[in-house]
Amino acid sequence: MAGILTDIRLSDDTTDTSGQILAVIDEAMSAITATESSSTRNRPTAIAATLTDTSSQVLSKAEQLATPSGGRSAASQGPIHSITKNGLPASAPVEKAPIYLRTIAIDHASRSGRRAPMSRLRATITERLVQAQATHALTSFNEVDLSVVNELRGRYRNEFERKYGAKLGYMYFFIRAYDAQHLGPCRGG
Amino acid sequence: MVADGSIVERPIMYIALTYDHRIIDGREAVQFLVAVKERLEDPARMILSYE
Repeated sequence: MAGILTDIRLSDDTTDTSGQILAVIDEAMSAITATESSSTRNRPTAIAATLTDTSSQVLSKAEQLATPSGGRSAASQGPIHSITKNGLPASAPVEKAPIYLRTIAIDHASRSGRRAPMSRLRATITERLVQAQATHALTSFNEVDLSVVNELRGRYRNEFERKYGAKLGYMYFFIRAYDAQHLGPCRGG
Repeated sequence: MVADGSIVERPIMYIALTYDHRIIDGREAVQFLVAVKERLEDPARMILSYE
């Protein structure tokens, strides 16, 4: 598809869903840009300029965070406080609380963690996992040696097809194996 | 796979059974799956009523 990207609807860090419009491409504008090639040549540089702008912004922000005085601000100490408050057992002696608080604070400081949005794959895996827990679905696996089935399929291939006008496939054997009338009481395992 | 003490090549298929654990116990489910496996590996079992 040839055209000009006129509108980008999604920013880099957002997650898109199926069927969502990501960007708008104007096909009619490709003819115009072909004639004024000099003006389009300026566009990449403009984009590059904005990119460096944002990266320098990010850098300055990172430097801000990296400085020891800026890093341990009131904002980063807030969550620590609430965690220790919630993590403390209600019956715990009051005098032990400060020790508890200190160890958690040290743990938090030693981590150079970074919060990132979940990837689509991880989000889906998590969703399915929760779904599976909610529905109590379990799956068991087994492997089957199909050599005898293959042998039978080979032996009766022509005869079966002549009689029924259909190929003797695997499904015939699967259905027969599942058939409750032939299954009788389970003695497996 | 190993058959009669030697390693042989065999056509292997994986079968999976998913079930609701609130209703069906794991033991019965596995037994069913094994019963299916045994019937596929030895179809002659299907004409025998006592197995």
